[in-house]
Amino acid sequence: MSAFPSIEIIAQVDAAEQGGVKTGVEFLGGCLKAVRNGVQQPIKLAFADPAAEASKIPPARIFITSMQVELARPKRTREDIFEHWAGHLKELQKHSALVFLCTIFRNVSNQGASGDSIDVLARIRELNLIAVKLSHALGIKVIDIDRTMAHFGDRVLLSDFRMRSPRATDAFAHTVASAILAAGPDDLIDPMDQEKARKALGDIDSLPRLIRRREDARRQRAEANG
Amino acid sequence: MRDTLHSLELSGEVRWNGINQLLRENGSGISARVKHETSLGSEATANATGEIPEALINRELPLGSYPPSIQFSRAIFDFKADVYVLSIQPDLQIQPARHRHGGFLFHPDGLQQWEETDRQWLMREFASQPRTEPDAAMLALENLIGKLRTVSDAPILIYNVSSLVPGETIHCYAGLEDILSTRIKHFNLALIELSQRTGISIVDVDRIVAETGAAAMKIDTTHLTEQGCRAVAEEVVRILQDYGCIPEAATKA
Repeated sequence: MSAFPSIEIIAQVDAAEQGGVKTGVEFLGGCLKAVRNGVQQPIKLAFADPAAEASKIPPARIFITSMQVELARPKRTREDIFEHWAGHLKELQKHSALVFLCTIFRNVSNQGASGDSIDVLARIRELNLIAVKLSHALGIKVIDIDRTMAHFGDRVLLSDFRMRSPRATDAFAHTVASAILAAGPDDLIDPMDQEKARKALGDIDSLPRLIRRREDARRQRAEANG
Repeated sequence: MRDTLHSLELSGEVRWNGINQLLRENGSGISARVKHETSLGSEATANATGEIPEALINRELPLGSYPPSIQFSRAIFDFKADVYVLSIQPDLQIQPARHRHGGFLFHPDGLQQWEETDRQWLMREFASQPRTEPDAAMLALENLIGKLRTVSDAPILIYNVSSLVPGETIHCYAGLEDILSTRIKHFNLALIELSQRTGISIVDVDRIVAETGAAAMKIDTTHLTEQGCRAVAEEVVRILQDYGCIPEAATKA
């Protein structure tokens, strides 16, 4: 039996984001293990159907969702979007100590080449602002994927909002792990361990080093496998 | 905006020579004459009469880049340009004061360097204004665009602002309704709606910075690096090509 409580996480995110969430949870577990002399804290991650209503989702200590889920739906008014999400998130807050909402990277490849991509970018901007307003209104936490990825850019991360590269996945993951630790989950992780784990993970400026390390590891594995 | 189109100087060295650097690189033989003026915001610009109010005449104030001759200038309406380039940044960040009797707007730039007597005068003569909200700013900007269109059919481009605030790490916005990054997001969205209504072109600084990364493109919240200036100027050139202001032949290397 573990000395630490199990961290149960449910993520209701777009398919393109699942890799980032999974890797983020691995980063979180890895940092905690590193600061506890190799002792692991159990972390269980499950994914909910993006279309599932809040009442149908099992309870979990941490819930992560994303505005990409809304982007995949037909366009509707800002008021309708806010009302829907406020209701959804309030329901989730009844069963989760921490509710997180991910923003969307404000970059669409082939911008200007078609009216569709211009419309998508406008929607992304709208949804990112609604995420902030939901955080104002409900106190939910924001995992600001947009901010992290815009700090480095499409040209470094090799992906637009669709998360199509390992670098984008790693950036997403780092942002998830950082956000969970920054939110102060004191009933799940000892505050001192949270601080140590945050240092072990590193801030946004350490992300390029992390990405390079993981790229080198992937390359070496690929070479080893022939 | 001036940095991207005219020049960027850092530590006394010109690091970016403006839009003409791009036009020269293209080997076109075309050059741009860039006339730049600072602005207090759309309402002040739209209502400028060209005359300095009596309250300010003969008053020596250290107003830096905002002398009275510029604050009340009608140059944007009187100067026949091939392209007009505006920005939402003044409406976002400048909070001019309003004269209690005359009703005109005035920006007390460099207030920290003012003499105490001049500060007392400012408090007597002017009332501080609340920050301009996005809806009011867009109304004023639409009014300005309308007035500009009565004197010229030239294209109007408007810069938005990158909402990336270096060093910001907020993860919960409860109680933080008025932070700058959120305010910028509001303005950028409102500008899209203005473009839909009026047909002006947006120079999407926000997207351009995000594409290459704020780490490389920004010095601080509002200033761009040399790389950032070049990227934004390239976008301006692209838009002007779309308008036919720069012939296609001018873009061949």
